[in-house]
Amino acid sequence: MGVPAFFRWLSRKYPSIVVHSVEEKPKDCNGIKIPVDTSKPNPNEVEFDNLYLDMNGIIHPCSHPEDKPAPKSEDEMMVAIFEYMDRLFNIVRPRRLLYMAIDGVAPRAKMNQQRSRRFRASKEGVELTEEKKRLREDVISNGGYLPPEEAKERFDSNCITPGTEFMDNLAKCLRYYIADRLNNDPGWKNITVILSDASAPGEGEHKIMDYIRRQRAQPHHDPNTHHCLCGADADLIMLGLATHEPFFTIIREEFKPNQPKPCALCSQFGHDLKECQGLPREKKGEHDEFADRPPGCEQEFIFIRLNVLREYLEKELVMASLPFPYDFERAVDDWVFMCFFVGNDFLPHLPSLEIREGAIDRLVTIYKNVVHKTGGYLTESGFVNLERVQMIMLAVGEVEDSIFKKRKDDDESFKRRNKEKRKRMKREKQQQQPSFLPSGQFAPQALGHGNRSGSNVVSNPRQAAYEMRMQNAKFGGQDGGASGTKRKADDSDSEPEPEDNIRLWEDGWKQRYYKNKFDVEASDEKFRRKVVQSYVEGLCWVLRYYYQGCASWKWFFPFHYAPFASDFENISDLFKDFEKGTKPFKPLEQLMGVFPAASGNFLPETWRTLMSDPDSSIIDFYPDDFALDLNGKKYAWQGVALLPFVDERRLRAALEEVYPDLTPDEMRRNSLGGDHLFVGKHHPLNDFLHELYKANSKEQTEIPPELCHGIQGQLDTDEGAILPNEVVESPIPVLRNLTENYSISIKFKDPQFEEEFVFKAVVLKGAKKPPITLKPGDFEKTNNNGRPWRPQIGFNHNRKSVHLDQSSFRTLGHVLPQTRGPPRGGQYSNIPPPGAYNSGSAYRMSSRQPQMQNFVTPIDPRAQTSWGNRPPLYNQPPQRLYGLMQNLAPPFQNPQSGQGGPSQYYQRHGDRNRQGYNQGRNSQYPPQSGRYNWK
Amino acid sequence: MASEDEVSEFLSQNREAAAWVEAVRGECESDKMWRYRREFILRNLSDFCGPRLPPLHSNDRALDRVLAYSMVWSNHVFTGCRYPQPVMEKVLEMAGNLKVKDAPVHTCRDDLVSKVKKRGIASNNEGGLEEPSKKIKPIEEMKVADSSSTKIQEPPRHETQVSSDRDSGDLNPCTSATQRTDTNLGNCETSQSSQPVSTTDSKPAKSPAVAKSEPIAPQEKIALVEIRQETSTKSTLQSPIKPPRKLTVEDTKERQAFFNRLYKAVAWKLVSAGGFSQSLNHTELLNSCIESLKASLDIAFVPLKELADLPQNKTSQENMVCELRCKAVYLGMGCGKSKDNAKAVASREAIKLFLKKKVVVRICKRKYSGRDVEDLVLLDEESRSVNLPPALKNPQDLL
Repeated sequence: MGVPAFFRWLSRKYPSIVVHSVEEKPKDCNGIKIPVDTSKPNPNEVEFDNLYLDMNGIIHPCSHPEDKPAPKSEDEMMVAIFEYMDRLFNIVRPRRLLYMAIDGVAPRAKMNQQRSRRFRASKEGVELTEEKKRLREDVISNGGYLPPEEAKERFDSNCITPGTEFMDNLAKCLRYYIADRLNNDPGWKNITVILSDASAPGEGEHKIMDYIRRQRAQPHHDPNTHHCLCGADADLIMLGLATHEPFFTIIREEFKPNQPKPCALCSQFGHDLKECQGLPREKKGEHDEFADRPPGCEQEFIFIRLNVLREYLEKELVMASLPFPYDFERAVDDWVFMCFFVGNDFLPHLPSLEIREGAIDRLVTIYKNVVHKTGGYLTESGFVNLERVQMIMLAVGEVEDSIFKKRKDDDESFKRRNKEKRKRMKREKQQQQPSFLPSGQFAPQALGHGNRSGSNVVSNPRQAAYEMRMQNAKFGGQDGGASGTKRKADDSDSEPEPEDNIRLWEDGWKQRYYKNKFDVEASDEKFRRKVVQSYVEGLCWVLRYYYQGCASWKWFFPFHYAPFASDFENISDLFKDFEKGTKPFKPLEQLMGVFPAASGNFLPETWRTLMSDPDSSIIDFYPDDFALDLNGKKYAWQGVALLPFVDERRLRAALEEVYPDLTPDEMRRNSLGGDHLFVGKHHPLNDFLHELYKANSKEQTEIPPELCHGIQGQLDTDEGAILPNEVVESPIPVLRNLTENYSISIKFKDPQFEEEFVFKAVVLKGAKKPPITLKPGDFEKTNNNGRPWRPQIGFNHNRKSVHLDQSSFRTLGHVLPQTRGPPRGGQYSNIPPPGAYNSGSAYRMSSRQPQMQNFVTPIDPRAQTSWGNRPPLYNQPPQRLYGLMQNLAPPFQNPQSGQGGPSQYYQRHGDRNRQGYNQGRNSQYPPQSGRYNWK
Repeated sequence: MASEDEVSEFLSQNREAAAWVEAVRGECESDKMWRYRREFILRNLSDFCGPRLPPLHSNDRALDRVLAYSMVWSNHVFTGCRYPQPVMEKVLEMAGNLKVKDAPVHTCRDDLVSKVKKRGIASNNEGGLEEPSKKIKPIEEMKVADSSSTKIQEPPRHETQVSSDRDSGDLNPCTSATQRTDTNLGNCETSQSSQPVSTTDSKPAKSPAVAKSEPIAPQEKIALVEIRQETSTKSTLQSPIKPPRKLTVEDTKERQAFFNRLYKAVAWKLVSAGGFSQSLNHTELLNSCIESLKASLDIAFVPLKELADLPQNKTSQENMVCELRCKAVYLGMGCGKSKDNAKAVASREAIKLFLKKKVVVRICKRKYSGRDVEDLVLLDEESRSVNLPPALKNPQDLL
């Protein structure tokens, strides 16, 4: 979902939903990596049944990572993807099913967002390459050294779109990967794998939802299946809630802001692209073992427990004395629906609802007030009751005016505070410097520079001192001038604000908004109605999409901006139903719809021409440049790209002429495919599938439910299938062919239902309620045998804490310094060079390293003795300490770093805070070039 | 709006056409947008589809092309999109003198980004697209000309008229104008100007744009007529207007000596004035120093609101901008409520430069009316990257 702030808001409001993952790392024994046995119990003290991977959340970070150098070739990229999946598998350890879904052709409603991203990505890519080229020349002309430019072309992240060769290749690689793991990994022995590659239409997460929905609707489904869904999108949370499955967990990378990034030119850490000087690389660690990444920065994973979120919501949404029976499940659905107002991938968010301003809380309050009058819930199984929605909307509309005014006030007081803070900082900074520095021959000099020029000898000191005095007297005014400059600079520090000519806080905002954003007069009632109607359709479409699947592949919101909440008058008759029987685009057609002309190289020759030929009948879809409306935001990537919409009829008409030009391979890539199911040798389904192939069965066969944990679906033999005792060829040169293969694959189709079938949004019969995690509100009142409430950490309520006794601390003290970390190269070697803290982003790297080394190598001898003699000194929970050592990534300051580390540590800390503060409320993170926001 | 009345008159007489054209209206087009686009379509329809209305929903390629061009035009005028140059030329030609008086103003992504980064950004049209359009253009143009006079009885167009239209467009390029009188060529220019200054092959094609954006009015029209003729005879390459002069190191060296002397002169003057202080009359000081070296201080003023690149809300009451130059080298800029104020601020900034160890003349990229140009700038030796405000005068003119 296009709301990066949503998860942040959620995890702050409902902190207990987040659980940090425990990850067992492969051990290194005499240089041989011993993989983790994933068939062992899950170290997170929970067992998951199904793991669903939204693959695009994996492909993007693996193919153009932000925190490490980009992979050098496509093969390396694939291997990185494999490793990432192995990691996830190791953490989650599903026992029944692994479902991998790559984004296929998306519904039309999503296309505009995809278009806007790809148009921008393509431009940013070109700009980055250019800047790199320019800086490279600069650095080299200054005598710096840079690694030779890679021969390969710039990786265009736009190729991660269904229909490209890259995606086709990826599907092949994944099939190989699945076969390999099914044969060789004990943890995979009994699981069923389903791969839904880019040829199957639908967005990845929605294909997963569709699967879950359809499994739930068939009688053999186990209502207590524990699902785990991997992906970073906030909308996965909504989707998970929408399933009404009691056990649903989401796993995602933990977002750590301000991670060091390698320089794009020399791939070293510690400086920006702009500051690259082409210095020789420093050895990282004793044997250069940290060469590719700064130590301890590997992304960690967090779980988001939706059952805990449901507990929170249960408390929050409780409504007494309703005129109709209270049903928590329905209230959850309404909550999900209201979250759409704040933003989603398919509709722009309402101008008055900003998640950072507590829009969801506001909505919930309004909802609770209004629902008494509505006579029922807003939604039912994904169908919207517009009359009731209208009441909510108009209630929001009433406060709209005050929201805008408040926004302005907040904004201004924020700016003022910021300015004051900056001033204060500047003052403090000035106070740190010595007020007087002698210059000329008396200027202080660094130690150890020797007498290179002999000018160090002070000559004629009296005369020089006199001159200095005179100079001071003469230019006495200069000081004043200098500080005058400072003040001036201070004022201009406040970055140029984008001009706001809507002024939502002043009367007449509605007129101005419509005039500026839509170029219509506010009196144009017809047009406004049209916008509202489209938005209402959009709300219905989105909710249906989440609860029932794609209602119409064709529908989209044909404007760039949303109407106001107060415009939602008489909306109940604005929407009837969607057009039935719409079909998704073919993959190559979709590519034509989302790519800019600059990414035309992913398309066949004649198709590409249509994007650039002045005579093309669809040339209007491909502007070179487009207007970008910051819309009150600060950074270009937050703005609204005013791209023209694609006229489907004209696109199809134009493509008709070039269809004959497709090669057979392109035709195959352009076809819509389906899902594939894989099982290993020991899976009960293996023999069954084998029989199907032997019997050469041509018709679809149902999965016998008892063979596969109640998973249902239709099987169909596949011509290019992976079959036992047939060699699986490796698509990647560095990996070997699988000569002894016992896994088998087959086409898989989700259980089919009639078109009119409605998937019920209810908790299934037989589902157990998960044990509570939150402290009950009446805990003090009930008799608990006098025991205090113990908050739950992790999945297991009765988690045993592990204690280390004296002897283990002794052992640790002996063993740790020898086996881990660099040798003790003396205390001083850990101190970064002076000045490193002040040079922009350089400080991060240099400070991080000593911090870590200090941790693993007790430098202070006293620390070492206390290690053995006085273990109680460590009054933190021991197992936490243990976890830290394992991960080598102390996220907080540990007690030892103060001793050997630089004393500026605290300043650094302050720095970071300040940074976060300055970014302003309107920005989530500093703009990153090439930043890709998937979903 | 005269032509618009013609359109509605034409449609009221011709029911069939009215119904037909309504069917190609975009579902969510505003009335205003549609009115203009409808006129665009009607004007050009017969050139592409012959005298008869093409059947609807037949995927007729000629019709689709007209629709595509109408969308290109409408996207350009109303939504601020830019298209590759050949497309733009063609569409603007087709639009003829169809004018939009109150089109909204947009900032393009490239401008927005480059404003942040302060550097030249190439738009990614590869230039390879120019050839086909050149072949077609003369023919199309003729067609447009006679169609517009036959189909809807519009006044015949003359070259001069068109060029003067364009002229008025020049003064208000797309990004800076608060109200555009003409969208024809002002936009075309800005689209061209997004091209890299450094790539050599695109330069000849660009020269008209550069020449045109000079704010010298009288010769302008003549030049424009020339350009106009050129484009129609597709000989843009032999443009009589000189291409932008590339600044070289020679230019800086030439001037460096002068500024070294000026540096000394200012230093002495400051010493005799008792050092730098706020209370000095900086303008006078600077001026007398420069005059003592037999050169002159060039002062240019522009109202702040005409500099679109500056944030407008910030300094609403400071409304004059002053730029100081000497020997075509940029010294400083200032902003103030009056011209005198602005001049004082600017000269103070300039004097401050001379307080540093050494001043050097460098070639820097800066903005001029929305595009990047090279300019000679006087800088402190130690300053690395500078954020230069946009130029008030075209540096190319000053050389």
